[in-house]
Amino acid sequence: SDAIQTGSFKIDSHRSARSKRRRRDLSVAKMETAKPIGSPIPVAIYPTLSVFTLAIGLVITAFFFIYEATSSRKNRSLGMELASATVASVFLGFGSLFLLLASGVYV
Amino acid sequence: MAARNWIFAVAVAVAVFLSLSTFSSAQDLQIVNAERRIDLSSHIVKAFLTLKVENIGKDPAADMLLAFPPTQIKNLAMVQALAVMGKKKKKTYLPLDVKPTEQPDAPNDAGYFLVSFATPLGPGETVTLEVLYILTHSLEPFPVEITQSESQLVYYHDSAVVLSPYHVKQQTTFFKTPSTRVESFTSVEPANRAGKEIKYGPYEDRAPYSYAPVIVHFENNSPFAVVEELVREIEISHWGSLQITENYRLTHGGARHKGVFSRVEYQSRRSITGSSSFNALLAVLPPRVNSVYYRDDIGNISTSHLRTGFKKSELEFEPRYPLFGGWRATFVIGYRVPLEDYLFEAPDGRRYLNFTFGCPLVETIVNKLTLKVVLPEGSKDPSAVLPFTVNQDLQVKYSYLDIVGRTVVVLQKDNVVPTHNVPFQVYYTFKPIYMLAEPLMLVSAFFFVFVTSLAYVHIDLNIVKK
Repeated sequence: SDAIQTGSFKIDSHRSARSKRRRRDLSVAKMETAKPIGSPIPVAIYPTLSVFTLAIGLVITAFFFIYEATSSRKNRSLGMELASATVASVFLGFGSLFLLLASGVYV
Repeated sequence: MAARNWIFAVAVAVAVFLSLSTFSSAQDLQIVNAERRIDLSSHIVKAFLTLKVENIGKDPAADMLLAFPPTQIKNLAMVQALAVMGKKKKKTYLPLDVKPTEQPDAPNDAGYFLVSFATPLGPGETVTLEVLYILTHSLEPFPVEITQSESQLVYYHDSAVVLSPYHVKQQTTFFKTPSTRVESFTSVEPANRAGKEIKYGPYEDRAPYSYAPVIVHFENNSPFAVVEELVREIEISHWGSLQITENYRLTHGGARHKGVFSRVEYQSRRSITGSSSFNALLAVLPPRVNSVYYRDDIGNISTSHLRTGFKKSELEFEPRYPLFGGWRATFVIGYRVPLEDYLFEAPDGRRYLNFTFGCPLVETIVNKLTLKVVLPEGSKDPSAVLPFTVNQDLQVKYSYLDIVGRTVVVLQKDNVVPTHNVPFQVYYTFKPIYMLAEPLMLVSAFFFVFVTSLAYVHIDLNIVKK
């Protein structure tokens, strides 16, 4: 294929610059007919995203355990406990996923 | 009277036999001119055959047969045929379909390939074909064992005339050797040698299936790098990367090394000793590659250089020791490439992976290549599309955060040469919602911890009620 490429280059030098550009555009257009699939979230922001989600998750975990420790049996609200547990586990779960992805373990 | 009856019966039988044989061999094609150029510079033998075929029969011919002797048929790695259209500066090449076939009356177990013409060849018409075929393991080292300071000499067995089921009017064969040192070559008149080229021919009017065995004994110090087994695993992760792991078992397939290996002699007089040995190998990797590692059972091997580029990356690496005849090296090369370069969406909604088959090492033969494509969890209906035949299989692999396991498409092929580095596709269906299975698994694990601590706090284990 190298020989074919150099051969077409020799013929190209006789053509005008405009037709040369058109020729190159055709080859690029051919490659772009297939739609590439990538990650839903840009790979470059995985480390930043993991730090932020884990930080928020740990803050809410702290709130959960402080609530458990400081409230007495009477004024403890199960709804509050479950809500904070759910939100904390969601953030911690996604945070640990992004941490795994950022460190190279592509699960 | 009885004797005359006997002779008459025998004559009839012979006439019937002759007519039957001409009927079954279909001699309506003939080769006007055959030129064969065989390149013996490396251990992968490449033969370029230019045939000018004429239809001398009354019916149009849709295909033609290429014959190979039984010793060559098992070493054939690839046969390609192109039809030449136009002349001189406006030549275009049209690829033709080549399939291995069996013929019932093959003399001496010759093997056949059927080449289908683009348009059937009419009576009286001619067509020029360019056939490329590649032979592996065809250079036989002789002497079989050499010491460190000797050069490597090999035998190449072939025929001075092209083996063909058709009559060949004129033909020439050229052998190109890597150096000017040729110990001997069989002389089949007219045969002569000029520098690095041995010319056999031109030969006129040869009958079908004529064969003149020749042996060329010459020096070939090119690296005989043979990978005995290569297992390539491509793991697709929809979170953004393709991880490729390659396990190599590399050998030197040339003349076996005998005697001692003197490191002093090897390092001080490198130009004389170990002329057939090699210690550096080149692997051609995809352009945007990262996290390349090269290690073996002992640990990381640091003798490597990676040069990334826009069209390809090159990894030049050295095993822990130089390889002499019969020596082995086992190692693992792994690298990661971005997913969007290789995973695409087909118009019918399926996803497909577009990757190159074959071994990334240059000028190496792979005896047994196993390519495993690990599809993410939740993928269904896998299928592989390749331009040549391979053995396909399905396996299951359990990896990180897996419940049901990942489907693995296993493609296996023997006798792989660098010409097999062509793109192939693996199609599968995947619903994007299945990507949430992994984070939800982690979320539920953390939630379980919270629920346990909640239960511990709420449970009253006092014996005496306060």
